[in-house]
This record gives sequence, C-alpha cells and structure tokens, in this order.
Amino acid sequence: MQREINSGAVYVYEAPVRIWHWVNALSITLLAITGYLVASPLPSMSGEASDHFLMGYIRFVHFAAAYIFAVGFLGRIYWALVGNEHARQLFKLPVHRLKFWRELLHEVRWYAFLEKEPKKYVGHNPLAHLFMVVIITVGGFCMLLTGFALYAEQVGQGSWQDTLFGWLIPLVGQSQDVRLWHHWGMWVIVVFVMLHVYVAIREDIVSRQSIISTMVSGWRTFKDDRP
Amino acid sequence: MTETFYEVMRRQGITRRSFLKYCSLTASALGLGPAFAPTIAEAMETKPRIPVLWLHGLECTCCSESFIRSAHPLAKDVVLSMISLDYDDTIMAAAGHEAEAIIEEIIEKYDGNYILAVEGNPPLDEDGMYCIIGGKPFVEQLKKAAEHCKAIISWGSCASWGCVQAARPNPTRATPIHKVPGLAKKPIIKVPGCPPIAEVMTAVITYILTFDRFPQLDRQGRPLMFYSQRIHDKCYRRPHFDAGQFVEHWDDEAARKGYCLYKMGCKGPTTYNACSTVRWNGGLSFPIQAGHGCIGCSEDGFWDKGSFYDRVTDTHQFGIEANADEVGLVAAGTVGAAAAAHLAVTAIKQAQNKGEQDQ
Amino acid sequence: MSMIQTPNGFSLDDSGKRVVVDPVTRIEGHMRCEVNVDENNIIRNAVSTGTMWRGLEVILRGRDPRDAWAFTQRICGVCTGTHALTSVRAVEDALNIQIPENANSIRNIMQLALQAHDHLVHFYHLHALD
Repeated sequence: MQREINSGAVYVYEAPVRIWHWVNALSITLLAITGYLVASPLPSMSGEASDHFLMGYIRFVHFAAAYIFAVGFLGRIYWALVGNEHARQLFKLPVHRLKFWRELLHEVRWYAFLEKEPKKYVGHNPLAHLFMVVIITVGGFCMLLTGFALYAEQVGQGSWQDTLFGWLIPLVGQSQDVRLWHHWGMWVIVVFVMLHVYVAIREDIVSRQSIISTMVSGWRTFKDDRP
Repeated sequence: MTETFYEVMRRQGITRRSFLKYCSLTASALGLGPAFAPTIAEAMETKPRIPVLWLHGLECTCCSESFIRSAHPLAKDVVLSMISLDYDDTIMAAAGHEAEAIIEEIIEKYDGNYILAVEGNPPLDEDGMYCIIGGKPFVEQLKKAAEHCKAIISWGSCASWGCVQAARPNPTRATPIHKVPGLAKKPIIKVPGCPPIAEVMTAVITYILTFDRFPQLDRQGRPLMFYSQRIHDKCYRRPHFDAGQFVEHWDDEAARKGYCLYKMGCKGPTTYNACSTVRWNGGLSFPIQAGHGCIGCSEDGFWDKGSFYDRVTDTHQFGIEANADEVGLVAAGTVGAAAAAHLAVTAIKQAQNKGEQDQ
Repeated sequence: MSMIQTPNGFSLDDSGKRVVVDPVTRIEGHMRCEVNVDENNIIRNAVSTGTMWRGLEVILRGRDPRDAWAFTQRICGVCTGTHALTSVRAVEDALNIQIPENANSIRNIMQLALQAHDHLVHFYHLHALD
C-alpha cells in the first residue's frame, strides 16, 4: 500500500473508480433527501388528487437513485476484481496487521492535534480506510439489502426483488422494523458524509498530499519529499 | 362416517340451486375462477365434514366474534354444514366436564383426522398456570390436541405472533403456537389479525375442505390469497398518498376530505392483510375508511413498534428508546459543530506553524 | 357443616354437594364456577374464578397514552368498544382534557350501536342455546 512514497505523482484512482465515487455522491445525496421526505412528507397538497403526483415523484427519484447506487455498487465490486491494487482497498481491512492499528492511532492523534504532521499515503489513510469499509462497503450493502426488501413489498410476491431480498423482512421482524433500520442507516450515512466532506477539504489543505484533485484526475501528488 | 356437506345442507332444506349458487359465491370469495365452482360443489358432495377442535388460550375471543359475523359464506353455514365444529367454548352448548369430555372423544375418534384451530396462545411461565382450563394448564391441552391432529390453524395474531399478552414485558411469557416448545410437528397455517377478517377465516376453512390441503402460504405461513399485499397497496386513499395529500391533524380539512392518513401514523404501508379489499362487516368499511389509520394488527409484534400515531416510530434496542429522526438530527448537528470547532483549531495551528516557519 | 376461611378473609360454607363447572362456555375468556348445594338444592356458597391472566395492566405501563385504548380494548373481544371508550375517557380524565359536545355524541352513538349488536350476538350466538 505504502511503497516508495515521494513527491512524484502516482496514478491511484482509475476512471471507473472516480466515476463511481461521483455517481455515488450524487445518488446518496438524492437518496438521503428523498428518503427523508418519504418518511416525513412535505406539507399536504391542495386540490384534486389527480392533479398531483408529488409523493409519487419523490419515491420515483428514490427508487431510480437506488438502482443507480445498486448498479454502481455491483460495478465497483467488478472493478475491485479487475482494477488496480487501490480499487481493492474498500473490500479488505488489514485488521490482522499491527502496522494498520499503529498508523490508525497516529492518524487519530493527528486529527486530535497531538501529532505535528500526518503520514503520507498513496491510498486511503487507515482511519479513512476503516470508515470507508464500514460505512460505504458494509453500510451500503446493508442499505441495499433493506432497501430492496422494502421495494420488493410494492413490486409484489414472486418478483425477483422479493425472491432475492424478501426473506430479510421476517428475519428482521416485520416491515416497520426494516423501515426503521433503513432510516437509521440514512442518518449514519448522512453523518459520515458530513465528516467525509469536511475532512477531505481539510486534509487537502493541511496534509502533505492531494485529496480532492486525486478524486478528479486520479493522480495523487505529494507536497514534500520527506518519507 | 360423518355426513357430507351436501347431505347436511339438503337435510337443512337447502335446494340444489341454492347449493350451487353458494359454491360459485365461495369460489369467487376465494379468488378462484368460475371453473372452480364445480370443484367446490364436487368436494362438498363427496367429502365428509371435517371435525374441528377450536381451542382458546390467552385471548379475548375477538377471533370467534369476528368469525360469527362472516357473510360469505355465512358463519352458520360453516359451523353447521361445512365443518363439524365439535368444540369451541365460545359457542358450544356443553360446559364443564361435558365440554372437556368432547375433546377426549374427538381425539380418540378422529385420531390424525381433525383440524385443530387455536385462538389465543399458551403462557409458558409458571408451568402455564396463567391459563387454566378444566383445572389443567392450557398448554397441556394444546400439546395433547396437537399430537393427534391433522393440521393446525393459528387464528388471529395471538396464535400467530403472540399479540397483546406477548407485548413488552410479556408478563406471562405468552408464546405463539409455532414457537411452543415440544409441540408436535404439524402443518400450521397462520391467519393473523386482531381479529382476522371474518370472510378470510371462513374462506380459509372452505379452501382447506374443498382441496383437502392448505392454500398457498407465504414465507411466514400466511395464506397468500389474503396476505400477499399490504393494506397500502389496495387502499382507496392511495391516490392521495401518491399526490402528497395528507391528513395533518384529526380535525383539519384534509381529514374531512379523506386524504391519506400516512402522517397520522397509519401502518397500512407495513401491514399485510386484506382489509382494503375484503373490508369488514360484509364489505361495509374498514378502519381507514372510517378515518383512523391502520394499527397494523396482523403484523408480528405490532404492539411494540412504537405509537400507533407516529410515522417514524421509536426504536427499542438494548433497552433504549430512541427516535431515529431526533437522534439523527442531534448527531448531525453535533458532528457539524465539532467539524466547525475542529476547523477553527486547525486554522489556529496552521497560523502558528506558519509563524514558526517565518521566524 | 364445615366453614373454611379463604386467604382473602371470607368464610365459606363448604357443606353439602359440590358442583364445579369448568370451563364455563359461551363467555369471553375462561371461567370456573364452584357451588355447594345443600339437601334442599339451595346454593350455600358460590365461588367463581377467572382462570386466565394476561397482565394487561403490567403491559400498559410506560406506553404512549394515545395507544392505551387499543390495549384496553383487547380485554374482551365481545364488548371491545366499551373498553376502548372507557379507556379513552380515563386518559382524558388523567390529562384534564375537555371533549366537545359532538365528540360525546359520537361516542354515545358508538356505545349504543355496540349495545344493539351485542344483544343480537348474545341472544342468537351465545344465549339462545340455554
């Protein structure tokens, strides 16, 4: 992960990974907003029911964004198999390596202003790595499972959604339970996104490497030559 | 051998014409095509009435009360012509030890051939002492009857899920039928609801008699023909939901106009039942039509899923009661504030570093 | 003649022939009736026991008061509405809520409708056999 690091630029995120990131950003934003509005709808519309389809549109956006998120998720798994080494980072966590935990602690201390400067990483730093795997990979997967199980309810018995995901509802309890966990998941992801955006901007400025531009161009650049 | 349904009906003075009409009505009530009317007629003409033991555990008798209000078919037709309801302590004539003797007799006479219908459920705490029938715990009676029956019908949410007596903290450890330890492994059909719709109950019985098997069941053992869709899917107020027209208060204009009750905590979107299609009291109405949200009475553990009047209900996990939206907003606010504070400290540190470098 | 003291401080005449009816049918729930009859067929003592307990009072504790009616309603499936209406009234009393005249009328209509239908059920389904 962290071989010869120098000020020379490294090509980290290949095009499919970058596209996936930004598509994900968009779909998660839409999913969170529309999901919240499905749980707590906008003020009531007046007039004839046949003149409006507000809730229908909100739900449509939610489902469409969910399909994009799901296809992206599958595509990302495929790219983890065929892409470069960094494309696999989101799918494995080196918890058995002492070095991972030591660097994780260092990163935490850096954020707590206890370290003078951060280490340099070609891929994600250990703290980011941990959060990405837990929230995006595992969390995203849980949201897909619960989301499709709920979607299966309206598509109906015997649909492929029901066959693939319908079993989840009796496993969790009942429909309302699945809704609640899906809703909690939304808040977890919202909080993560806030942290992610703040830290990405901050690190882009104060750390020793590029962050935001890397997710645009794919190239990681470093601000100094020290190890 | 007991009489066939047809013989019993003829004996009661029902004409052949009425009998055939009844068969087609039943076929349509079951959602079967017209081709099935002769099948039902044939079954009724040739098959003997099935003996049914209807036991009551911890319950409120609302299932029986619902059952006797069935219009298609009429409860009396079911009780008097279709099944041989040998024991049901709500509507049987005998009482006391005479009643108890009937159970013994049925178990002996129709060993492996009777249907056990259970309304309510057994409490398991204190060796089942919270429900005593004829001086013995109900759970013992249930186990014995289940041992020799052909199949079990779990009437209502009590027998299917546990219902109100199993709501937190479940003081008597009331346990739904399929979870009773040591119960003989028999096919179980769940007909949940508190109570289930009368027509659903009678239709399930009719189906079992006609085809001599259970109707198709879903993952949780409920008949698909009545429990495959949510109240929400067939609700007559659904267009208001899609349009975004909601009742916000019980006495607002939207409530008078009959808008969607989603915001008032209606559990229609999470409840599998046939209320919005079959309706109640002979198709007259159902809760949402009367202006109150669905409370989700046919769902597992519906008593413990937060208030009947909340949309985003509270979560009870690890002994904590919390609302996702309240916690989420506080968490997002805290994280936002923390990020701002962190940013401020970062800026100060950066400035200090700069100062040190400049010197 | 033998007198026995119950744990609740009642004295019972336990003489004569003992008749036990358990279960009592065509009622909601489960009930046991015991009587002692003397040589002139006169009941000397009578004891009735509800033989089931679900603990609804325990379950209701700590619930949203708006939901209480639904729990209370499950006391009995024969006279459900009465329990619900009474529970709602109890909650209103506790919270000092004054209800409008129309609400009161609606509740009276509900109660009377329930009474009318309960008479039919009770007569044709439950009582007629006696």
